[in-house]
Amino acid sequence: MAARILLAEDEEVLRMLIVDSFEDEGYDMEEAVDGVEALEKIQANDYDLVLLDYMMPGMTGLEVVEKVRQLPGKQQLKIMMLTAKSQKSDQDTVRQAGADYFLAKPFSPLELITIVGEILDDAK
Amino acid sequence: MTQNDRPIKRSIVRRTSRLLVLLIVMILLGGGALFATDQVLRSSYESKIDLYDKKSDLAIQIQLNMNGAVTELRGYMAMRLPQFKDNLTQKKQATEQAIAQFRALPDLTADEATYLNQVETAKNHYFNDLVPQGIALSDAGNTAELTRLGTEGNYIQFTDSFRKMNVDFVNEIRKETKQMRTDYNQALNLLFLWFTVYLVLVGLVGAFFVVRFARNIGRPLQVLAANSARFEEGKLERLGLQERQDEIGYLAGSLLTMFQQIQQNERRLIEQNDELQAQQEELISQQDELYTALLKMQENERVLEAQNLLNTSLVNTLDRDELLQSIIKNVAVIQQADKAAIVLMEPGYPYASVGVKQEQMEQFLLSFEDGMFTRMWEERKQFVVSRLAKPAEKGYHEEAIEMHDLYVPILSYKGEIVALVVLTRMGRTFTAEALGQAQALANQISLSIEKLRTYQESERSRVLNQEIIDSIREGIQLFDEYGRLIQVNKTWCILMQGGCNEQERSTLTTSKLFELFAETVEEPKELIDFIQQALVGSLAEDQKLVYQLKGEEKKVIQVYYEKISDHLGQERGTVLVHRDMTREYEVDQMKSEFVSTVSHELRTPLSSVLGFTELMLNKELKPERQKKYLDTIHKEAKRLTQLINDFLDIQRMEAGRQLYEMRDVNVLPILEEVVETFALSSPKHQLKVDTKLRTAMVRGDETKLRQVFTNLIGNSVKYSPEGGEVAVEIREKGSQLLIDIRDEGLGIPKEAIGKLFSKFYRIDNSDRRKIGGTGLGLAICKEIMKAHEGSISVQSELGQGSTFRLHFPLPVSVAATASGAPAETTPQEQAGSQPRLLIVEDDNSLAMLLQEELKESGFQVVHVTDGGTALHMIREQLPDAIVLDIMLKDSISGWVVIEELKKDEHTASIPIFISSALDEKEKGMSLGANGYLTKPYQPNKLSNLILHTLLRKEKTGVIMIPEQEK
Repeated sequence: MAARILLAEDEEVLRMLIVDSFEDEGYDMEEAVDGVEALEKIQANDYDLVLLDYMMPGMTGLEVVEKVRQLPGKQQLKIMMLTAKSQKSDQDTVRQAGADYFLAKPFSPLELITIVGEILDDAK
Repeated sequence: MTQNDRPIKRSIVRRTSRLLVLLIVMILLGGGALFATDQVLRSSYESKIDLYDKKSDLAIQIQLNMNGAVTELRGYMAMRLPQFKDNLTQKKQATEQAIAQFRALPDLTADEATYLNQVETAKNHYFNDLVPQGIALSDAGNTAELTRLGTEGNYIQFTDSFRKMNVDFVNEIRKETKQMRTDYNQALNLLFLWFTVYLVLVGLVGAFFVVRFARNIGRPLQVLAANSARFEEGKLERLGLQERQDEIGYLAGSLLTMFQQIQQNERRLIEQNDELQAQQEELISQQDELYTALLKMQENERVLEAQNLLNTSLVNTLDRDELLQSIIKNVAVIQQADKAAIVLMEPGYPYASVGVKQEQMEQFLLSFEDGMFTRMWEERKQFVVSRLAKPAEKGYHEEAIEMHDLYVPILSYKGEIVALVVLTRMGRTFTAEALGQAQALANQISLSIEKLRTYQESERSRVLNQEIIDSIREGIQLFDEYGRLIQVNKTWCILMQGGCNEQERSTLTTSKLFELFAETVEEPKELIDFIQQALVGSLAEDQKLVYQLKGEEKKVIQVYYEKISDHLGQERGTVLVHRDMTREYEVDQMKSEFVSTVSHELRTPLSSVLGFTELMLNKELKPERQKKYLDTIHKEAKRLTQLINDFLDIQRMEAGRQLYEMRDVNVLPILEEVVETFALSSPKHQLKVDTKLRTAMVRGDETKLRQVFTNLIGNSVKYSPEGGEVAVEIREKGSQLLIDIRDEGLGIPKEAIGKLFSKFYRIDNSDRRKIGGTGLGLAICKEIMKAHEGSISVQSELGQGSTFRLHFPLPVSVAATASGAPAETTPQEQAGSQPRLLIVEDDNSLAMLLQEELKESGFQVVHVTDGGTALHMIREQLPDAIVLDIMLKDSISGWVVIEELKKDEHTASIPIFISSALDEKEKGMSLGANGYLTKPYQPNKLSNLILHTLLRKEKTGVIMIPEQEK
């Protein structure tokens, strides 16, 4: 069965880019336009992976990760943070908050797909 | 004393005792006689009474025995028993015995002898006659005879007569006994009567002696008392009575002796008294001497005290005037000078004096550099001048008084004269000792003046240092080598939230400082550790620490330290420098935030462009998808371009490097054009321009103004995604042109309004995010408006829509506004229609400057320099406005010019602008001036003022600007 992935990203074009790319590869994609929606969807569903944008209105990706990690049964949920902040210190912040992976913008969609594929394969 | 020892021959005590013994003996003798007489009397009577009692008893015995014999006889006669006959014999014997006892008694009277004979006879008759008859009859049994004898009476007769005889006798005896007792009692009474009489006699004798004795004692005592009193008064030489042989004589003798001794003592006392008086006189004279010595000592003490005071003030006083005052006061006392003065050889000759008037001192100071002082300047030694007192000095004395002035130069250790002391004595010369003392004093004073100078010097440099470090814009703290806080500067105090006042500043200690830090600093421990390490020198030399203060401002301060060493390299302390970094910190913060934001903003479109390109390059895509991706790439690339342009714009603007081509621009056609563009691309919205103005002139850069309008109208369209009206309204208000751009869109939350015009600020809401944008538009608008001396504001209600308002200052060219033509024509071309100005100004260079500025603003300018010419010219030419200086070359001042002009109805309405160095705006305005500028001022201020005034006049119809161009 196809892996189920949630994408939280406020930029419409980027959502289009990622969703298109992943759907082409046969993933089951769901979208959230901001942090609040992302948190709601994570609470309601079981995903194999969550792709989170860092800079989102309302609730940042960082806050979403922190909240998710406090939810019952979500400690093991795989979360990858996408961010324009590429500094080492930013990566540390993200990891400390509880994200498993980190990808800097601008990213290559093909590379992203490869990485996600590897992560999900490892999990199997 | 001899009299006291003589024996008392006739002692009163002895005599009294003798008399008392005699009286007692007499009383005892009387008592004894009484007792003896009583005894004799009693025993005589008692023996008589005893005798009578015996006679009576014997008589009774006789009777009883005779009665018994009778009874016994009768018994025999009745019973004839022999026993009765024996009993009869017994009775006869007892009777005989009693009679015999009676007869034996002494002193029997004749009656008693008679009685005894009768009893003898009767007894004999009975026993000898009657008893043998009766026994015989009874033995014969002749009862009848017996009875007849009994009844006829022999027997009975006998019994009765015997009994009668006895009773009579006993009664007689009793009578006599009674008589005897009565006699005895009478004898006793008589005896007591005699005794009483005797006692009375003895008492009388005693009384006689007592009276005599009292008289013998009391009199002489009275005499003695009276004589004593007189003797005491000295009236009697002799006391008398002392020749008496009793106690009184003795007493008198003693008294005499005593009186003589008293007299003797008195004489001795008087002698002693005289001696004491002599001693006292001597003492008084000694006391006088001592008092004189005391006065002398007090004087010395005063001098010593003065010396002491002088020393104290020389050592301790650091205030110049106080020191001089103290020196001269005490030196005058020490030297016992009547007048004294000290003058410092410093600019202004500061001085202090005692007993000298100010005028005299001033005169003295004037005479310093010549005359009698020449010698002193040369020799630098003290000297005395003696002179006669001037009348003013003499007071009420008439005779000549000699005055002695001692001049003492005070020399520094270099030998320069630093001060001069003058001491004056009236009528008393200065002794060699005084002169020596004066020299010693001079040396002391010299030292203290030296010290004062050093102190003043160091104090000056201390104050200077404090001022220097106070003026430094960084907080400075100075610690000594032991880590004690010595000084902090004003800046540091202000830095710590204005934390310490002058007093706190001077009392601040290291520990108090740390307490202060603990309260005011965000992480005090770090700072305190840093300072402590800096103080002990365990920090690297260029170590710095940044700390933050609590409180609203959140000041950020950097602290670093420097060690101070003296010329020997010995550490002397530590300086801590606290630098307020708040601005730099904020700028830094903003910069990094800005960079991060820009980076984010750029990366997002780049991600799209790169991502989609990659997909297209690497995947076989359907043509529709290719088209969609290409569209997106194009859009995102455009967005990126826009972002970069906006970013560069804002950077340029903020740095002040943006160039504006300022002209007079009619914004109406521009707004209409922009609205038209959006109307075409946004069919959902109703866009319109609403104004009553024919033209809306603004001085500005057309391109930039177009950018503002595009941004604002674009926002209105973008942020009302549901469509609705977007209206642009243009109107004039006061000196401003207002442009409102109103929409019916999403509106802006209240909390966001404040940040709305900040760079990259975008309202945090995903609805709006979809709309997109750079977050720089409004910031750019704000910058552009600022460059146009205008402003931008916003009013909005969430969900109802927003209104952005642009405020432009009205253009200053009256001519241009009036003609409605763009102000591109040169001043020369419009000379005929230009307002005419007259400048009245005596300063030609200022007049030139103003002329140039005013001509450029489109005025015709004439310049005159004096009031008279000005009035003449104004009346002749009637200019549109006058620029008037107040202080002019001739007698007619600016005030006069205004008054003259306001009086004349032709000239009264001409606007007058005062340009003066005097700050008398109120007076100017009250006289009717239309404006008042205080020199110096920016020339364009004047031109603006005149233009605005004329413009208002035009609108109120006071001045008609000719419209020849039309």
